[in-house]
Order: sequence, then C-alpha cells, then structure tokens
Amino acid sequence: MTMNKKKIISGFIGLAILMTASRPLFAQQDQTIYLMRDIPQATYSNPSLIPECKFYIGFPALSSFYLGIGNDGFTTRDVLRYDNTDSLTVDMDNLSDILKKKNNFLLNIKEELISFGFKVKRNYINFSISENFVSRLTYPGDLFAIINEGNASARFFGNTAEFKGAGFNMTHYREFALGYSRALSDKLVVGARPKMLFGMMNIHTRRSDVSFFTANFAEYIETNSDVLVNTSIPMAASMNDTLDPPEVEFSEYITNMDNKGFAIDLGGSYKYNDKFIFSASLIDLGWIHWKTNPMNYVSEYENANFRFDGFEINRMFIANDSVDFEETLADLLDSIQETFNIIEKNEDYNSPLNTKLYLNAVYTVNEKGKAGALLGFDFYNRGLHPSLTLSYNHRFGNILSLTGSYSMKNRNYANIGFGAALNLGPLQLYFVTDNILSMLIYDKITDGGDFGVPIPRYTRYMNGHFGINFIFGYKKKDPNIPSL
Amino acid sequence: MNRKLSHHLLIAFIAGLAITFSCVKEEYDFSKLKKSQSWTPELAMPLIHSNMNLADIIKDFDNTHLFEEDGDNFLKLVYQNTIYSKTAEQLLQIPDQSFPAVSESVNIPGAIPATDSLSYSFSDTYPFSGISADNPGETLVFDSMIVKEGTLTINLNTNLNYKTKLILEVPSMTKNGQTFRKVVYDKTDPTPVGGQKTYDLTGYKFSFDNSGPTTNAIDLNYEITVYGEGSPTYSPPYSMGITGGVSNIKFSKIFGNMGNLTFLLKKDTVFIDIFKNNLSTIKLELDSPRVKINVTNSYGIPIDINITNLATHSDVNAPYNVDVYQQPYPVTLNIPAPTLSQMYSGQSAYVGFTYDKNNSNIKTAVNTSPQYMLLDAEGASNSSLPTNFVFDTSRFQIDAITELPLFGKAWDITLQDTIPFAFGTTIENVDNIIFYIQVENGFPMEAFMQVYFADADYKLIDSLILIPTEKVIPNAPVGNAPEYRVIAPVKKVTLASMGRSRIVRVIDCQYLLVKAAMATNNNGESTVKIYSDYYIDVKIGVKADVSATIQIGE
Repeated sequence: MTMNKKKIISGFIGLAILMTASRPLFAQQDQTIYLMRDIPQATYSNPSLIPECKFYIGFPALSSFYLGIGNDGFTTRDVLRYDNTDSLTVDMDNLSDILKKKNNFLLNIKEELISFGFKVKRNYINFSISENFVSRLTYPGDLFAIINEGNASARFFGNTAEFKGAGFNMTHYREFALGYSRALSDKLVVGARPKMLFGMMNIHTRRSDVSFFTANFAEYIETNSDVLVNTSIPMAASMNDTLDPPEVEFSEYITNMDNKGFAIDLGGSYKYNDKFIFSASLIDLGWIHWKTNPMNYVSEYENANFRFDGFEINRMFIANDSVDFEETLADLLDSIQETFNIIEKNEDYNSPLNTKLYLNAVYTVNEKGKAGALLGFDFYNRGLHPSLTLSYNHRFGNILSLTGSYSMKNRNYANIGFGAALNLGPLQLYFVTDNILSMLIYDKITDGGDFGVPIPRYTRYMNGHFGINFIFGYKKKDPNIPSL
Repeated sequence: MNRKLSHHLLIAFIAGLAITFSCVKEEYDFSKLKKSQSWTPELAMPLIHSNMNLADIIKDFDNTHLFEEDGDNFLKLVYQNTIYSKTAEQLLQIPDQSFPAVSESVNIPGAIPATDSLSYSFSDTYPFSGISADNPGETLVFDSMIVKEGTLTINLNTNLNYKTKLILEVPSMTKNGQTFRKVVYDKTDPTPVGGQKTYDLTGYKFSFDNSGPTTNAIDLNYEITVYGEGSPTYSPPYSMGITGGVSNIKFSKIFGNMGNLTFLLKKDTVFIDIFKNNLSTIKLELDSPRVKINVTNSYGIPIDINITNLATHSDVNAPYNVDVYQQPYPVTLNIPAPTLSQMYSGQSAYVGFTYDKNNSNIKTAVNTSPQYMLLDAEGASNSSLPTNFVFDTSRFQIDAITELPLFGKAWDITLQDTIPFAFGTTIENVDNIIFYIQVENGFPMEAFMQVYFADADYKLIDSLILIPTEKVIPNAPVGNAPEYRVIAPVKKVTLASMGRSRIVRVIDCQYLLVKAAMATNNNGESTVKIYSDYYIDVKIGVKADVSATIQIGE
C-alpha cells in the first residue's frame, strides 16, 4: 500500500470515528447514487458530474421519484412489547432510555416533473422542474423522559431537562433548476446548478429554546422559553382570528408564485491520477422568502425565564392573617402565562434550505469497477450533521450497473445500500436505496385484521429513488470529458 | 464461465438474497394493545418559600411602632406614646362673649331746629374672659392679647325720628397705633329703624385693665349725635338700645399672669404590641430595657410635673402587675419656660428622665413580657414668674418612650399558625411523599417545629415530622461580647417522609397547623444580640412517587 493510500484510509477511519460521536443525518438525497454516473440524476449530488450519455430526457413525471422516511429516535421494537399475557404494551421506560437529546422524524419527497440534459463538447447543460416536500419533526428525548419518569427521577432531580432545538420544519416548494458543467481540463470539471424556487407552504421553527430545571430537594423549579415559529400556510387562520380559516383553491395553491427563493448547487471534480478522483459539492445553498399569509409566533419576552420557589408565605404566624393558596396559585399561573406569552406577528420571513456538503473520493478498481467514499455534511438546526458512505459500483456491459454501499448514519451502522440502473436501449430504469435491509426485514403493525403497515425492523431510516429516463448517445468514454 | 453467464448468476444471487432475507420479523397487533398501562413517575415541586429578615418579621408582629437601629444595625424596639400634648390655642380658649346691653334714654328737650344738632355720650365697661380647656373654672388674667381672627358685632335699635349718628370707641383695642373708633350708626332718614354692624378684629391688640375690681376690663365709649335737619315731628320719649359682643376670637399671642394653670394629665397606657397574641407567653431576659419620659414646653410658663406611678401589666405572666420603683419618689420634673426671644425663634424648653436598670426595677417589670405600660402624672404651671406669655402655637407635650434593645435571652417562644390546605384528590395515586425542609438560619435562635395535619374540625390527623426532638431550625453561632454577632448562617435540610398508609390518613386534611417553639441559643441560656440584617430562609419542597394507571383509547 502506498503512502497516499494509507493516508486516505487513515482519514476515512478518522471520519468514521467522528461519525460515531456525531449527530445523525437525514439526507434528502440518496448517497448510493453518487457513484452511478450512468444515471443523469446522479448529477444532483454534484453538478460537476457529467453523465455518460450525450442527451437524456426524463420520462415526464417519472424521471425521478425520491422518498425518504426516517425516525432516528427509536424503532418499533424499541417501544412495543408483548407481555406474558400476550398483550401489546408500550415500553415507555425503554423509550426514555434510548432517546437522545434531539431526535428526528423525517419525511422527504422529491418528484421530478420534467428533466433533460445534453452535452456540447466539453459542456453539459441540464434542466429540471421538480416538486419538493421536506419535513422534519425534531423531538427532544427529555420530553418523553420527563413525562415518563417525572422531574424527580435520578435523571432530572438537580438537572436540566433540555427541549432546545425541538420543533417542526416543513416546506413544500417547486424547483426550476438549470445546470451547467464544463470540463476545464483533462483533470478538472466544475459545475453549477442555480435554482429558482417557488414556495407553496412552510413551517419553520427558527428558535425553540425551552428547558426545565428541578433543583435538588425540590428547592425550586425553573423554566426558560424562547420560541420563534414562522409559518406560511395559505389556508391557515390566525390564532387571533375567530373566523374560519380562509378557503384556498388547490389550483390557487399549486400555482402560487409569490414566495420566491433562490438556491444554487456548486461542484468540482478533480482527477488526481488514473486511479483517484476527488470531488466536492455544495447542494441547496439558498433560501425562500415567504410572503403568503405569513405568521410569526414569537415569545413576547426573549429568553423568558420563570422560577418558582414555592408559595410565598412570609406572613405566616401573623395574627389574624392566613395564606390564600387559591389566590396565590392564580397569581402564579397568571405570572407563568404572562412570562411565556406567545404573540403573533405577520411579517415576511426567509427560511433556509437544508444545505449539504459532499466530499467524495473514487478509486477506480478496474475498467468495470469503482469504489468510493462519500462524506456528507447536512446543515440544519444550526448544526453540522455528518455521514459516511462507502460504495462499490460495477458495470455489466452497457446494460446493467449495480452499486452496493455501506453507510453510517442516523445512529445506525447497518445501512446496506443498493442501486441498479438498467439500460434497455434508450430506456433507462433505475432504482437506488441507501438501506435495502429496511425493505427486506421489517415488522408489521396490524389492526388484528388484514390491514398492516410494514416498519423497518432494524433501521431507522429508509429511502428509495427510482426513475425512468431516455438516454441517447451513451459513451462510456467521451474524448471531450475527463474520465471521471 | 463466460461473461454473460456470470452476469446472470450475479443477478440470480442478488434476487435470491432478497427473497431469503425479505421477511416479516414481528407482527404488532394493535387490537391486543393493553388498555391500561401503569405510569410511575417521580414528581417534585417546591411548596413553600419564606425569606424573612428581621425587619419583616417585626413588622408582621407590630406595624404601628418603630424599630430603631444603630450604626451597627443593632436593633431596639421603641414604643412611643404621647401622654399629653396641647397647643396654647387648644388649652386657652376665648369664648364668644357679649357686651353689657345698653338701653339709653335720649333726652331731646324740644324739636331740634333744622340747622342744629344735639350730642350725647355715655360709656360702659365689660369683663373680657378666657378659659382653660383643662380647667374651665380657672380665672385667667390677661395683660394683652393679639387677635389672629375674630369679629365684633354691634346691634342698635332706636325710635329716634331724626337723623342720628352713633360712634363706638374702644380705647383698649388698637391696630397699627389706631384706637378702635367706628361710626356704627349713621341714619340720614328720619324714619326710626335699627341696624347691625360687624367689624373684623384681625390684627387688633387688646389691652386689658386689671387695676380695678373687674378682671380683664375693656371700656366701651358711645357717642350719639342727633340732627335737626328735616324737621320731623317731635314725639318723645326717645331711646336707644345697643347690644353687641365679640365672637370667634383666635389669638396669636397672650401676655398676662397664667401661673395657676393645671394640666389634665390622665392616666396613660402604652400598648406593647409585640407581647400580644402569639408572643404573650414568651420568656425574656432583656438586658437593658428603659422607659424615657420626655417633656417639651414652648409655653412662656414654667411647668412642674410629678410622675406618681409607672407600672407594667401582663395578662399572662406572673406577677402580672409590677410597679416600677425609682428613688426619689415621685419623679418631679421642673420644666422651665423659654424666654420670649427663644419662643420667637421656635425653641422649646426640654426636660427628660429615664427609668433604667440602674435606677429602677424596670428590667424585672419588662421581663414579664407585659402588654401594657401604665403611667400616672400630675402637672401644673409654676407661678414663680409674675408675667407669662403664650403663642397660639406654643405646645406642652409629655412623651413616654419604652425602649427594648434586643439584647438578652428568650425562650418558650411559641408560634402557631393555621393554613388552609387540602390535598384533595391529588395524592390518591401517591405511594410515597418526601418533604424537604430546607432552612438557612442567620438568627441566633433555634427552633423545633412540627406541622400537623388537621381535618375540617381542626382535629389533628397526623404530624409531619416524626422526630419531634429534632431541631428543624438550628441556631447560628454568635461571636464574643460585646457584639454577640452571628458568625455565619447555618443550613440544614430535614427530610420528612410519608408512606402510603400515612398518606391515606391525611387525605381528609383541610388545615395545616404549623407550630414552632423557639429560643435563643442553647435553649435560651446564651445572651444574644439581634441585628437588623439577620434573616431566615425556609423552603419546603416535596417529592412524590406516583403510581397511576393510564387508560389507552378511552
């Protein structure tokens, strides 16, 4: 093994260690596809990638459909148990134990309506229109734990229950993307993919800093709250409004162009030598400005704090006096309500997209096989959330391309990915998932009858990406493009 | 193996793998979901917080009197009572009074020619009087008086059918050097009528004549002139009736001889509120209590005071009544009169006397924790000066000030209070409760405390603290004499737990009876001093083990 190889492997081991100590990732893009250059949609992970075909056009509405569902807090088997009477019970104790400070439930859908791309000498131009639905519910483990165990359990007595970062983020937007990439030399390709965005609906928890502290000996309890949630939901009624929510026609909703946004994908690939290619990309760097029915739910007092030391009875032992607990309690509740009062504003706001950074290294094993490592970083909740995917792609002629991958993500280290692209003449069918096990091994929740919902047994995340393209001028090696 | 075959085998392998592993591992049948699940959280919350410094506590017991502290924050309790206080205006009063009525015959020998007139004059004297509010029977002899406000009224009635003029002159009433001389009747119409005139006396000086048999005599001179103009019908006999007087007289100064005034000093009682109610049974050894008698005088009259009795009374503690002895007996205070120039500059004469542990048995009297301090005194003006004077603002005042410096020992301080408190249904699902009683005590006092649970009839159901002999509030240690100051506050957490069987017992609780027995350090054996910056902080928190059943789907 050469020195370079040793360094690279050492680097990846280091990153793997970092991964085990880091927070989870819910990618909005499957990472197994990164190595599958024969699929044009692979360029969505890095705009500097140029597909091997000369021209492609996606099957309208079927060129790319991505679905990702995940819950990194727990799996079904973590919370559901059969007891010795064959009754199904909810194991709240185990749930309290396994939940982390922040846990995420995610649902992402990306449906491409139109797409096409073509090469002109050393340039590649592509265009797509897609509907995007991105949602994430971040729920604090301490919330479940404090409800289940109480604030005087060993975990919370004398400690703080943190609900910081909890919240719900959801965006439905339409994306018009125009990509351009160019081989600057035999070694270097750069690309950019600017996107015009039109938001339909948004909920954005910009700030949620809530905590609850119980002092030792129940000396006092203290809670802090600082919340800002922005929403732009056309059919939502104001909380100050006693009228019914406004009626919005679906056509009006789907054609809304008022919430404009902009984003860009940037990428670059560098061919180090005949064996190694390194690439980097920054995806979804941008924002949407929301103007349709904006509502801002914000704490009236920033960083509001309330401490309760018990009912004040400084006038105990006074002749002819008594403590009116009901009055004191009413005063206390009034104080709490006033301290944590949420007010509503109606101001336009911006919501960022979840920006991703990918660093990729590809090792060409032979003419048919490539191995790659992809280090991803998701930026959300004001944090950096890394993941690591190791993959191997093998081509079987021009017809079939298969990829296997292994990913560390979502606090789960058993993510075996799989990707296949089948080229039947100009017709290309592809399917990619980062976690094939989630589809193979699952539990089922039933109502005792025929109805049942499969739930991955071991994995906390599943995604699937499939599509149909028409590709033309397929060339494995294009003399105009560096063999990346 | 050719390439095509290898591809097919690979695909077949992958497909086989998928079929092999694709399976349902577990089926969760929600129709079997347990309808009830247990929930056993441990919950905690603060119940009571009480942070009191000494000033707060004292105010709670006594909000009508003052605590005084010195530069070191050492406190003394001060009960001040004014036994007597009157201004000269309150004491010396000028009643409304009438001049002697005059009914004068006007002798007109015949019809008066049109160009002629007839003059006629006569005089009268009346005794001006003032009274003492404390002793209305006393005769007050005045030399002079400056009137602040007041009115002179003259009424006249006549059958004279001639033009007539009546002039009143009072030589002893002057203002700015001018004698009081007024045309009180000037009738131009020959028709017989009467009339009334009033005159403002503000600023007049009355000079009284005491040389004759009449006290405070004032001469009134009347002059009548009858004019013949108009030639009315002559119809004698003619007469003139005159009445009048002064009213609403307020003085600003009086000079005279008022050396025989007596002051009505009623028997006075000072309420010592701190020993009422809860603290009535307190046992005390205050080191240096004292009672001060302060007398101030701004009358221009020397005054003598005799304190004939000072005593304490306790409703609770024997011997109940204690006379405070002092030698010599009685206490005589001779208060001199300020000079006129001192009075003009607002100064007063002052005399004081203090009963303390060195000249009396006041310590014994106060250590019965008396609720009342009783004082008897007599007072009279001293006639040693031939001339006296008072301003309307002159004041004679006697104050009795009971000072209880908080320096000594105390024990058997029993405090009790009842707080409405009901658990209601909140503890039905509680298996165990722990009360954390946290005390940070900065007082040189210790306390045993018990909290009783009582039902609606105040019948005791249970008590909170299982070891009644445990000092819930330990005392803060004090330093050396003479400061006896607390070195540092002490902290203690006392745990009181109640299991399920006791919780069931107190479910009907409607009241908490909180009882504390306190004493200064070492159960009242040690001498301490109390400073205003002492405080006590009490927090009671509760931790409950809950055992509940949650119904799912209901």
